[in-house]
Formats: sequence, structure tokens, C-alpha cells
Amino acid sequence: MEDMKPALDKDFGIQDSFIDDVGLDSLDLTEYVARIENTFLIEVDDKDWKQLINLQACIEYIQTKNVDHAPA
Amino acid sequence: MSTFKLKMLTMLQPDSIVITGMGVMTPLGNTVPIFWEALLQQRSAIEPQEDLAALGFKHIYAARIKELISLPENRGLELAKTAIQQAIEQSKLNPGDLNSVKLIIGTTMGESAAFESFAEGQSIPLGQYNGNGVAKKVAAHFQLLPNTTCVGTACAAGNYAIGTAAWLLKEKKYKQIIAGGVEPFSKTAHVGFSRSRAMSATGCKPFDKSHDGMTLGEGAAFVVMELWENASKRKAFPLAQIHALGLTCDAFHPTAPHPSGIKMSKSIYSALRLAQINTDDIGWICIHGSGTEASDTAEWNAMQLMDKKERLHFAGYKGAIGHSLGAASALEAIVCIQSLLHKIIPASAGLNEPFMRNDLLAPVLQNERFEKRYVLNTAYAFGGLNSALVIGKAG
Amino acid sequence: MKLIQAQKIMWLATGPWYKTGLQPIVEIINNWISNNGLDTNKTGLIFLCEDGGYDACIDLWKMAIEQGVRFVNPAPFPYSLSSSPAGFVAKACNIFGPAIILVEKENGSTQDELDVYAHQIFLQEVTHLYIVKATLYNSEYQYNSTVSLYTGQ
Repeated sequence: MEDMKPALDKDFGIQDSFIDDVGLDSLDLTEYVARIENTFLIEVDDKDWKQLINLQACIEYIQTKNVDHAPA
Repeated sequence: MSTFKLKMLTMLQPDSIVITGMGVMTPLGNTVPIFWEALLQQRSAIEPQEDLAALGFKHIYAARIKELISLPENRGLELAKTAIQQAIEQSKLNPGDLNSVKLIIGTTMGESAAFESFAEGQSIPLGQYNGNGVAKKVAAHFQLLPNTTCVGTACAAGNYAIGTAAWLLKEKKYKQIIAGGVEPFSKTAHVGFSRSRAMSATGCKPFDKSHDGMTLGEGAAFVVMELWENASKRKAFPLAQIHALGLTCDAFHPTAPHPSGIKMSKSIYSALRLAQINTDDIGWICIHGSGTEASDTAEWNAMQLMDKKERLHFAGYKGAIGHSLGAASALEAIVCIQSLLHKIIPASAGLNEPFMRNDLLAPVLQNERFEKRYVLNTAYAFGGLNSALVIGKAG
Repeated sequence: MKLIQAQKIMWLATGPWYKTGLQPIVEIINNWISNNGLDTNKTGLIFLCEDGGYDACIDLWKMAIEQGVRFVNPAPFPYSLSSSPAGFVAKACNIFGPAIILVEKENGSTQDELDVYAHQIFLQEVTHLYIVKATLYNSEYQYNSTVSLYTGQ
């Protein structure tokens, strides 16, 4: 996230909404989800990506895709 | 000449800006009559593309022109040349007339395939393949004036090209201008929209309850434009008039429109004010209708803001031919012109159950007759570039 | 139209403009806005640039080849269009009036034609027009631009 948007406040909670609390827009989210896909070698379906509203949702989604190594 | 035609022509003023020729290349047909008939039959050219599937794209629905075989890096040039040839023939411009004709081309990416080849490591002189480069080659082919203009306003480029051509003609800078838009199918744009989560899984359904994104197309559409005083001397037949172009900018986001639609409605307001007409004078709006939730919603909000007392009809055609980016609003302008000539609005493509309802906004769900004199062609582009073009009957 | 101010600038960026921004152009315009008290609702833009989308367009396809079309990061996409630098400047400077983008080298459109576009823009309730000419594709990220401010007659 820091790499993507260096100007962001680094401290935000895993339940903070990306859009409402962290200040990302939908375009930022598409980029962030693409980075998740490339990092964890998973594919996020179009029907799923809008559910990734905060870090917690991302972590849970990655886990459902059965990724063994810890998130970055 | 028939009495009707004579009466119609006497209503034009010498400085009326008229369209005297049109030409298209579309996934639904490579002439204006074939394209028009296909829209009236509610056909769609959107289908799965085998080559996109083979390349591994997640989204494989698109609308492409199957009949045109060309070198990938020259596809835009060939599309433009074919459409312009039709327009020149219909306008009855002689070869000897062409060297004083100005060309204004609208496009988004120019020859996208050339940029892809460059990215893949080939040595390509990019300046010859951007929109400016394509315009110069087209002008050279037809021996038009070498000082061409390329309007790079993306999904609204067609409206900008036709509208700014009218500005130049009004000031008598040129006798005739060929204006329009072209966009060959772009794998770069396809991957961009697909990965930005803006693309439909099975084909766009603009303004429909089940709208789930846009679908990419390709095409070319050009018109010959001139003052009536010049067209009448040449005995060229006026197909329609161009009255005004309204423009604004959202200044909001690189891709998303402002959800309120306020600046979109301001561009409409400017166009109507400059054309000296009211909303109720408009027969129907040709919507931009890209099929994404964000764009459809903003555009719906803009239409709600229009000051109207009567029901305003609207329809869009990206559900039939996809979104042809730089060619889109030029193709849609030609649909508007055809509708004025035939007094019919083709059914809105891909729209079965509207996603919003308003008593004063009427979606055209079946082909519908209309009598009013004006049509509004709206087009909205990345960066919040908003355009509204007022097109009217020729007489 | 009447020229109020013009500035020519060159700057060396650390990367392609779509990553590093267009602050030199934005600063000039925002200074004019605050020094002259301009109403940004009544400002318009003509942006002349041939190569504004080049870097992002090329980078996006290069990445698509490397990462695969199914997984490529779409970040460059909005900036791969010829209109993208104009959109960037409009957003940063709150330019809400007409914005026209011309894909051409510096001396493409004639002054006559620009006068016609400007006149029509001023008819759309615009009081101040920026005309920006820019070159934004260079292997050393050395960019240059001329930024001008006009009013109507």
C-alpha cells in the first residue's frame, strides 16, 4: 500500500474501509487488488473484488484461496 | 426537384452548417444504410472473440469489424479511408475540390497496434501512428489540405471533431471540412478496461438493471460539412444541420465521472443555449451509455437535471456495436442524422429493464417515430470531458 | 482573445510524467488563479500535446506481456490516452469549462484556428482560458511546456 500511495497515512486499522477511511478510490482499489493477485498468485473474480473493502476482508479472501505464506 | 425538397431547402440560411455526406465502418455494417437497418432490426455485433480468449483475456466479448483485413498498424487508417470515401461520394465533392478541404479526426489511441509493437521491441516511428500521424496519412491519400487537426478527446472525440468543425465553418475558415472519429480495436484498451474492472462479462447493457460494465468495439464515422451557401452552389443535398456544441470538464477524476452529473448537465445546457432551443424542442437524446454503473448513473443524474416539461426520449447504441472510443460519438451522430431523415428512433440497444425510472425520461425500448426538429448527441470521456452536440433537420 | 501572461518551462523529472506528475504546469496555473482571483468555474483549457499518452500506453502493454493480460496491473491505463495530461491539469487546477485536446506538435494548429476555438470557448460562460503546449515523452524525462493565460476581448 505504501508503495502504491506513498502519501497515505501509514497507520490504518485492518477494519478501516479503504474508500471511506483510508481515502482510496475505486481506481486505486483495482490497482491494489492487482498487486494482491500478483503477490499471492491468486485471481480475484469480478464478482468478488468489491467485497475487499478493508484489509481484514483481503486477508480472509487470500486465506480462502488457500495461500500458505503470510501476507506482506 | 420535388416541391417538398424545394420547400425544405428554402428554410436553410446561407450560413447554416449542413452535413452533405456521411460514411461509416461499424461492426454492424460497412455503409450507413446497412448499419442503420441493423439497428432498426435490433441486431448486436457483440460476441465472444476467439483471439482474445486464446491470448488469455478474462473478458472476451467485443464488437469487431470482420470484413476489414489490414496490417494491424494501419487498421485505423484503412477504417478512416473507407468511411471518408463514402462521405465524399455522397457529398458529390469532385477530386478537384478536395485540395481545399480540411480534415478533423477524433481518436483516443490512434494506431494502438503500432504502440503495442513498439512495446514489444519493434522500431516504430510513433509520431506516424498517433492520431496526428493517422490524420496526415488520410489527408495525403485524399489530397486534402495538409494542415489536419486531431482532437484527442477520447470517448467524446467525434462530437468534438464535428462541433469544432462547425465553429471553423461559421467563421468561414474553410469551404468544406471532413470531420469524424476513428478507432481500430485496441488490445491495450481492452486490457486496461478489463483489469480496471470496468468491463462487462457478456456484453454491455447500457442503462439496464443488469448493466455490468462496458464492451469494447471499433469503427470509423465521418461527415462532410459545409455552409449551405457553398453546398447549394454545388447542388449537394443537405442531410442535417449542426447547431451547437456544449463543453465542460468535471475536473474530478482520471476516469470516473462526477456522480452528480452536474457538469455533464452544464454541457447540455450550454449546447441548448447556444442553439437557442429548449429541452422540450429535443426529439430524443442519444446517450453516451457506456454500460458501467458509475457512468450510467452520472449520466442519468445529468438528464434528470435538464429543465423539461415534456417526456424526453433517450436511446443508446453501444449495446449493439460496443464502445468504439474515438469513433463512438461520431457513429452516434450519424445515427442521430439518420433518425432525423427517417423520423425514427431505433430501439436502445441492450436495454430491457431500465435501471432507473423518471416520469419525464422515456427509454426507447422499441423503434419509435418522432417529429421534433432536434436531436441531442451526448458523449463523456475519461478526465471528465463532457460534450453535447445539437443536430437538427436540414430544412 | 487577449494574452495576459505566458510562461515557458523545462523540467527534469525522475520518471514518466504519469508517475511524477505535472506540478510545474499546475503551479503556474494555480498561481495565476490565486494572484488574479479567478473563478475556476469560468476557466477553460486548450491543451496541445502529441505524446502525452505514450509512456503509459507503452508501459501498460509491456507489463501485460510480462505479467499476462489476465493479471497485469492497470495503473497506467488512465494515463495512456492523449487526453490524460489535460485531464490531470484540469483536475489539479479545477478547470470546469470547456477543455479541448489537440494531438499535434507545437506548431500544428494555426493561430487563426486557435482564435476560433478560443472565441467559442469564451461564449460558454468562460472568462479565462489557459492554452498549454507540452512535450511529454523523452528518454531522459526532460519535459517542456508553454503555458499561457488569455481573456476574451
